[in-house]
Amino acid sequence: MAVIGIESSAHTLGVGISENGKVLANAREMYSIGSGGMIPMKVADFHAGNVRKVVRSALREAGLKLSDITAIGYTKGPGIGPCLRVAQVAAKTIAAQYHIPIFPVNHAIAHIEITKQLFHSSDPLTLYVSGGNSQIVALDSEPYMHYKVYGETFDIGVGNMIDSFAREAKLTPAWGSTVAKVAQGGKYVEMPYSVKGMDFTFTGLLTHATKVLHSGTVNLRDVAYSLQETAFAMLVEAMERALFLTSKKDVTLCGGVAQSTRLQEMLKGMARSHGTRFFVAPNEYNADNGAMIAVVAEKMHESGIKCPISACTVDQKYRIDSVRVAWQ
Amino acid sequence: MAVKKIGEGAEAIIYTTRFMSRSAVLKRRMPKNYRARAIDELLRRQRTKNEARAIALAHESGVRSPELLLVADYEILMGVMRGTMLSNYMRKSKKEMRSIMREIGKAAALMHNAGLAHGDYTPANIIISGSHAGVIDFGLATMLPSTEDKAMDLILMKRSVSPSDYRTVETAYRKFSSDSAKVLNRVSSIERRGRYKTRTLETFSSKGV
Repeated sequence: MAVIGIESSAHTLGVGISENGKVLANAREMYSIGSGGMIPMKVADFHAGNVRKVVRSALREAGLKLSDITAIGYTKGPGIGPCLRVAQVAAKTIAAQYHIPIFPVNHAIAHIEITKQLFHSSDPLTLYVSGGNSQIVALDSEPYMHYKVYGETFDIGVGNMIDSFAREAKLTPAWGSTVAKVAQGGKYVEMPYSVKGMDFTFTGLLTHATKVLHSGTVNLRDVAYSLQETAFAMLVEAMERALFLTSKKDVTLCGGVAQSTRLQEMLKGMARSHGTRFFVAPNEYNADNGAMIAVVAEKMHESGIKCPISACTVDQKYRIDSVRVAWQ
Repeated sequence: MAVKKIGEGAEAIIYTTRFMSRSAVLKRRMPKNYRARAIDELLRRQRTKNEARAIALAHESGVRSPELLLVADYEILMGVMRGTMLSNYMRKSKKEMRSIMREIGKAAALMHNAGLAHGDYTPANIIISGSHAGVIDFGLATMLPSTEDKAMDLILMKRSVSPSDYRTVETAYRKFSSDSAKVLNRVSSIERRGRYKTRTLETFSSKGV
């Protein structure tokens, strides 16, 4: 039974196909952000114009036809409203046309589940870091099986913070890997460091770094280096506390910012120092993608969940801890 | 100085030792190789200094808490607090629990009045001895705290004790704090913030001590 998943929560339109947990296809088109950010309606238009094409290329990659598909999943949230609606409408259309069950999927859970699947890690402590989100989560069975949030950002996601800095510094493309390149060989200048227990905030760091940059007293390389090192040290320290609290045996890293090799190296170092295994998926699964949505939709389908069409909504702030994890 | 390791946290290792012919506790902040050395040393030094100040201030303000003995770059030597962590504590009687919760509320008020927020005010940092509650681990304390910092102390405790226990904490806080109305208003406003809502209501409400 092949399951198709459609993802369009931010700048990537992704369509993936999975069968028995194995990824058969993972096709995508990405809206180019250039030196600007994302204008929701423009990105949504881009997705709407590409969704047919990407569905077709995923099917071609898997060697299947739509009539071979037994279930469909789409990203319900969290994400940008107008963007989310594209995958929702496409999934509802296909589900109605082919009379197959449809499953709304939580985007954060999809990143976590595909990493678990790839490394056969059933109960990790996860750092989920993307543009809009930064959370420390792990499974908890009380009051029902769900991903409990042990720590999270109280303001903006770490990805959004780094991207905003990149735009302030006029870097193109304005995102993390460009900042990482600029930061190479930098020296540390003091930055605000804000961890409260296992929670953290990033706006103070962003404001300070921007101010220092525009003051011209410190060069871009050193500011970029200090910003990145500080943000990642905060995340890894909060993870270390969560690891002590939960005593989990595996640590995983996922989400868009998980593609940062520096963050991978730091978290791996922390995990290893406590005798914990560390896993991070290949980049194609940390960037937004449809395969992870298909994988979770398949799990939901197998565990007997039924989703009436009236429940197939989108939710820009779909909380990870509001989802019942029926498949584990 | 002979030391014996008794505990290890994410940040520091705790030892017991002797100082001037009495028992003492040594807290040593260990280097973290995963982060840039400049950040690591700065953080450990700042936190050690900050914690030492907070320990001294809390003790002076009348909170049952360790006495500050000595401070070095990354190490603090302090007095011993005997008892059981509230997180490991088996509740004996309603009356005793109420007394403990009252002292937790009062201790928060005394610290806040003295210009100090604890920063990690959870059952793991409350030491119970008889029907008394003492406070330890000032590693995340804030000097000259904002209303938000003070409110966070109460929220952290609220998330980890039962609703009725928290009511006792709050009543005592109201009685002893010089600024309780403002702080408790802030507690409600933080809980109304979107990101916090689900966590406070769903994830933590079922977990009492």
